[in-house]
Amino acid sequence: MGFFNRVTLKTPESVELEFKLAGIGNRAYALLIDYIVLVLILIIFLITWALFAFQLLSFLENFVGVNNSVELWLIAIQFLISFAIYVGYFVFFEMLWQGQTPGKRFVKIRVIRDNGRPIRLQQATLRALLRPVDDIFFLGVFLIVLGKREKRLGDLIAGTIVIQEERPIASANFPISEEAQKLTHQLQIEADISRLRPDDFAVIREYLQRRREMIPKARTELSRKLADRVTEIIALENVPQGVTANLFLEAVYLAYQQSTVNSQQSTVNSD
Amino acid sequence: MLGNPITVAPGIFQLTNNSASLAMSKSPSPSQPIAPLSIGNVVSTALVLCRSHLKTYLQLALTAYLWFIVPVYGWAKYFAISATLSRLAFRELIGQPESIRDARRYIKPRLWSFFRVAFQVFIYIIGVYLMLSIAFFITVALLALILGFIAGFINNQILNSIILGILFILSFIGFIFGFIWFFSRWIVAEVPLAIESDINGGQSITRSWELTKHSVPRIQGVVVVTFLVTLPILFLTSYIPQILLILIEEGTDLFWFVYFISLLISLAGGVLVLPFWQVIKAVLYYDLRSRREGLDLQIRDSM
Repeated sequence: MGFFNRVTLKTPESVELEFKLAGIGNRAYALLIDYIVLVLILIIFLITWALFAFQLLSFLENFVGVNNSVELWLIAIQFLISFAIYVGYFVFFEMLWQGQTPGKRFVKIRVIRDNGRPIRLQQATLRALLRPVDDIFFLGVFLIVLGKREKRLGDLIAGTIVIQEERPIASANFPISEEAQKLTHQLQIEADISRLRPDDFAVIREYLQRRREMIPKARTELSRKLADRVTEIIALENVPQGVTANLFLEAVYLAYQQSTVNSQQSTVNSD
Repeated sequence: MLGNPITVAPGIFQLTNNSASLAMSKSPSPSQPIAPLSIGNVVSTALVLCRSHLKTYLQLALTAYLWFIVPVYGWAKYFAISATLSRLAFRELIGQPESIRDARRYIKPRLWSFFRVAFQVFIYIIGVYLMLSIAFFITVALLALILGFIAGFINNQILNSIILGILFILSFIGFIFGFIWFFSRWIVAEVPLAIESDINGGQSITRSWELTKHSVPRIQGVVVVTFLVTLPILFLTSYIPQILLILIEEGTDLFWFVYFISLLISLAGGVLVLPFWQVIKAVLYYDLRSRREGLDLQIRDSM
């Protein structure tokens, strides 16, 4: 299913890299999180600054008397620092985490340059400085939604794109019953596990991983359906008596895993 | 895809070939992503779907809005056409696209069921609102009583009102969250009716309740992000015209002219936003069924 915009980059070494673009949903979500964090930081700053300014003013009043221009200066400096925090927040984190801010890290997206390399200070700064323009008039949203490479003004000028991070496949962490281990051995002898394709294995693995979240009735149906298909594929003639579909799938999972481990070992041995 | 660039002589290069297939097994093929969608990706997927079928969806949405002017029968039509949008999007998601005509043929006999679903959910929501309001006022009254008792000891006017204020805000947040929780459980109420062939309106609502169990925070995330993404359209089509109307003196010719224009613009905004929400619901429904029923977990049919 091609429901994500993709972009293919070619490195100078002629290697083609394909990235999934972040998409408007992830970017809006990341921005929301970043703005919440940013507002919290700004509130803390403003409270601290107010306390400091109040102290300073009363201190000066005792020495030089009432002075309006000091007050104005303090307000001006406060605006400057607030702006610096606003821009600095994005630049700091995008430098620290190679194109990620806390929001982007949370939703697993990342800014990279058009050529696929990590962004540098120039790009991060340009993006951060143009952010107000993109956000205030919603210009960014329209540009991301309508554009083919999902670039807001900041991206267009800085020459960056925002991509999804490839998630490493989580290591299997589902329990497998002991009976399945016994059944595995039987399967390896009686069935042809090698007829199972990696895609089929991925489905079984995904099922075992996700079954706990499923509605019991739907789970029973699905496990039976999958087990029937797998029985056909691995050409198992006599399904052992009293084996549930779940147990059977666990055993197939183990058998396949062991068969790939074996073939890997044989590769190593022959080297 | 990882093709096989070199023809492998059997026996000699078998092992190299084997390791290539091993590498493949480690990364699932990009054409078939088997993984539930994240909050952001639900919204992005919906947007990509909307963009690729923009004309069809907008036409349907416009018809739906025009029907809405007609009382009762028109409302039923509105809900049925909205459901058609979800059905079309869902068929795209499972890779079995359907023509509008086929979708209409499916939806038509269920016209009044969609009206029933909408009406029933509306009644439920009002019921929940009333119940939660009562619970909220009882909580506040109890808190005030208890505080009034404690206040005698603390004897500090400002501190008392601060504590009361905080407690009031907390119970109000509780009220909002409770309301949102129920709202999320019925969010896809009409979608099963539009897609699953053997259920009626009541069962459709129950399906929504069952599928959304354990998923309320994620659904809320989707709703918030969708709202954020539609905000620019809402801003342009409903908020700005309303601000203009406040600025212009009421009763003048100009006022009515602007009023008429702003009505048209709001309609345009609605026509733009409706398909997006209906497609969001379809994607949510697809994702919920993948998570709760393993809809996406299928093993190939052909050998």
